Amino acid sequence: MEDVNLNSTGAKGINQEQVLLSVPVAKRALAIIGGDKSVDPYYMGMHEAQSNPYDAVHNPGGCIQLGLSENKLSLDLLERWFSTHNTSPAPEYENFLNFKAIAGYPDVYHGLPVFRKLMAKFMDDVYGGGVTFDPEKMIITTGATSAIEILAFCLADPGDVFLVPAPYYPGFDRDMKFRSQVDLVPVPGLSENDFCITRAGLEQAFQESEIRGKKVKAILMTSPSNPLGKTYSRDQLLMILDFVREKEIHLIADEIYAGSVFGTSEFTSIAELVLVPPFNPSQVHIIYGLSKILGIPGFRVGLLYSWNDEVVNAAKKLTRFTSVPTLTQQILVSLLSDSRFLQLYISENQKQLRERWCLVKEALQEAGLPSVPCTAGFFCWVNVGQVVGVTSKEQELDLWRKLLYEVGVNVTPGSACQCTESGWFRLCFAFVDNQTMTVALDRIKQFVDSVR
Amino acid sequence: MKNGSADEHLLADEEESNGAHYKCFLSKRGSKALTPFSPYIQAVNEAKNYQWTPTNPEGYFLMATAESVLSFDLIHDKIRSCREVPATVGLYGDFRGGNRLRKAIAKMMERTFMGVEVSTANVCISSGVTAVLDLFFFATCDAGDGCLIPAPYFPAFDNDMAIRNGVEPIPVQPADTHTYIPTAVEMEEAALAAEKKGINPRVLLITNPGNPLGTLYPESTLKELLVWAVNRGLHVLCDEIYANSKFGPSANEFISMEKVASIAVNENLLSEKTVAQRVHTAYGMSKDFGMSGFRVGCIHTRNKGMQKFWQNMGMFAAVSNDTQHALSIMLEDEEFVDYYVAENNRRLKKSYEIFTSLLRAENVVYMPACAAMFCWLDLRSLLPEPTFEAEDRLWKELKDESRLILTPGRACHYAEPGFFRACYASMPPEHLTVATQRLTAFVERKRRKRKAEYPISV
Repeated sequence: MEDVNLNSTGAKGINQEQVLLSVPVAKRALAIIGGDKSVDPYYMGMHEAQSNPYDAVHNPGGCIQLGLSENKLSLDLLERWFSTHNTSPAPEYENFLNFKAIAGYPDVYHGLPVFRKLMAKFMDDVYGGGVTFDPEKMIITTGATSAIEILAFCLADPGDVFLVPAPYYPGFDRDMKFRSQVDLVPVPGLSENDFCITRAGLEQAFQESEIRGKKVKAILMTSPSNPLGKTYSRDQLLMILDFVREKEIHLIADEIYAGSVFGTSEFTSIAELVLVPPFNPSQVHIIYGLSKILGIPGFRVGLLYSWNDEVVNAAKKLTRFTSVPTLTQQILVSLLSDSRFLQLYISENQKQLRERWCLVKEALQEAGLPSVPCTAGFFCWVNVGQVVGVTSKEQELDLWRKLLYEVGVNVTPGSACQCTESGWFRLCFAFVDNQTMTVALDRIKQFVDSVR
Repeated sequence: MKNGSADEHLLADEEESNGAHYKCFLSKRGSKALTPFSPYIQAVNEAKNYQWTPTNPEGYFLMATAESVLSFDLIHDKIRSCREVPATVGLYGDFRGGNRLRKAIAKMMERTFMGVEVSTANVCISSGVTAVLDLFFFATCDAGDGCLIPAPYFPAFDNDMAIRNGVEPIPVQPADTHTYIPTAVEMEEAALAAEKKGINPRVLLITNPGNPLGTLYPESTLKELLVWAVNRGLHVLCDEIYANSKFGPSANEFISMEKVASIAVNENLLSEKTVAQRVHTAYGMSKDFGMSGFRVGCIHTRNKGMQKFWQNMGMFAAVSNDTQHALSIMLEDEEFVDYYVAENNRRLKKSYEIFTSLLRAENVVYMPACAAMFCWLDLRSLLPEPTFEAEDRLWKELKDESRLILTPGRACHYAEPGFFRACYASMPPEHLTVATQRLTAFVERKRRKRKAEYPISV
């Protein structure tokens, strides 16, 4: 790396001439650029999977990608829809979406009204009729990542704390800390309790933050949970809502995996509970998006939904920076208008996920690997460390490296998800095709057998 | 499950009656973001839905946003033919932008205005030049640092650098109030003054072609400012978003900052290495191509740190793959691009001439422009006193009496009251004629009134 990321002050051993010549990138940007990626499991894993990708014919010994939470199982359905449908605006949307209207500056950066209306209806359908979403409370952004960042900006000042049930989605660290500089404090769930968090756990994390002089501003949770692959029960959600009410903090519920629930457990959205007294809905905000349910992360469509008018108004201002192209909105309006197709797609997708999970579950059981029962999302939480007696983070990472470079599967180590118990791994099972998945599961089984 | 809104209403009543208050405030920075728009932006937003047409004579002529409708038809037809949704659209892409679009934009910039070789590796794409600026300022400045900007300048720059990044804009008024061409002397003075106030200048932001003036920076000025800024340890960001909107004889005088930088290196004024680190150019599809709804902007930078930053941060402001795809196809059609730029320039010139010929006939003073889509009007003689309050009143009178909405000079951070920016491309030429006649009629009325009130001064 060249001299451009030298710090102007405080950098040891840099002589004065170098300091004068080099133009520092801002201190706050250094953390984003710098950092030794060579030891970061996420990047190492991605690098290996991309540079040495498995191919049945050309590279049978290559690395199989089980670290990306993406769902390609039903992509063919969507592709077929796009190739057979005209995505020009339907006559009833001609006024809003004709080219003249869409090429100019959007009246609203946070999503064209017709797009938000259809997104709200889509969410109504996905959530199974238990909730009615209001397009006016919806802010559409270029991906859920942007929506989360906007919420972090609106709810917390730099250095403030969000409590996060752990293990949690590794991307949160990046999303919160890069620019928003919000501190994430994990609230550990334990295996003996199926990794469910407790009121006591929340209370402890809250008190510890206060003692450190940090202000806790919100709880941030993914529901259904990434990486656990399970839903929160109604009681758990009520407990969390009550905690949030008592402490007068916010709740951010990232429900991006709603709609990808395939198991027998029920999904309850926080939206179903929040409007009942004594809860105050202006404390609650939902993150959603199209990346997971429709398998189209490339479209970059996410949203935040809030009952808090001030949050909505502040967020609107920030969507100047993260606005979805009107062309994309127009195409998606066509897609979202076809509710019959969407229903078909969602149920077919759930079926595919269920079948894939069965395949994985069977293999894990055969290999004797404990896992959390998976009912939602594209991943499962597996204790691989148990077979080799992992008892520390270092041992977990050793095992992870072995899995990556010797066994040839890229999985996510629990430490990257802030799990307090060593040896757990997130295994994504919806990205590769059946044949590849089978090969991956065989490899894992063989590895387990070899070390037992 | 009851309808949500009914329950909400119930809660609100309870709140009031119990005197309960919920302490779930926004963060400090979130609250700041709630600061209401200035009145002129509010008026713009309201007027958008009530614009003048022959059948709506009470409507407004919106001349306060830099938007061109002149060549929509050309883009419309082209994009219609590029709108397939490819198989790869679903998947995550490179957060610096897909390779195809980066290459297409790089080639287009190289061919049409940069005058130097443009490598794909040095181009990163984000959701609009606004997003490019937002990321750029975060990367180069810490909160509380400053950015020098020759005034008058594009009003939204303040928002773009301050709202999320806490960067202080430092307007630099031109010493030369005829040409407005800044010099390094003013820049240095402004930098020193800022430092005295505890603001550390980190960036020099230049827009060329200029907004709101619609003029071009001479090569000598660009070189002078570049060398001064780089030697002072600043980053230089040149926003060339209007680079393909040029008309008139002086249009040939446009030179990109990238070209100026390479000249400076050849003349041994700056080293190749420092130029690579500190000189950056922004471009986008919103102005020259009128595709502001597509939200596509890019930064051209050879600073490896910046590129790495974009790779990591790009996902917060990425462009949808399908839009990238459609745009790539359009920009790869070089014949189309050349035809479009030439035709668009012709139409801009025509509207500019309609506007200014009518102004000249009424002796309304304006700054001759040869680029972009707006004109800087000098209405100082209409002010009863040279104050911004008087300018505000004049702005309001223009709106209320003549239904004309212009951008007041104060919003552009110009120090002297009485100037206005008018965008002449935001309506078809036939409407522009009506709008300009209204403007000159207004000026004429005001002059007569002033003559009556102040018979000596005029």
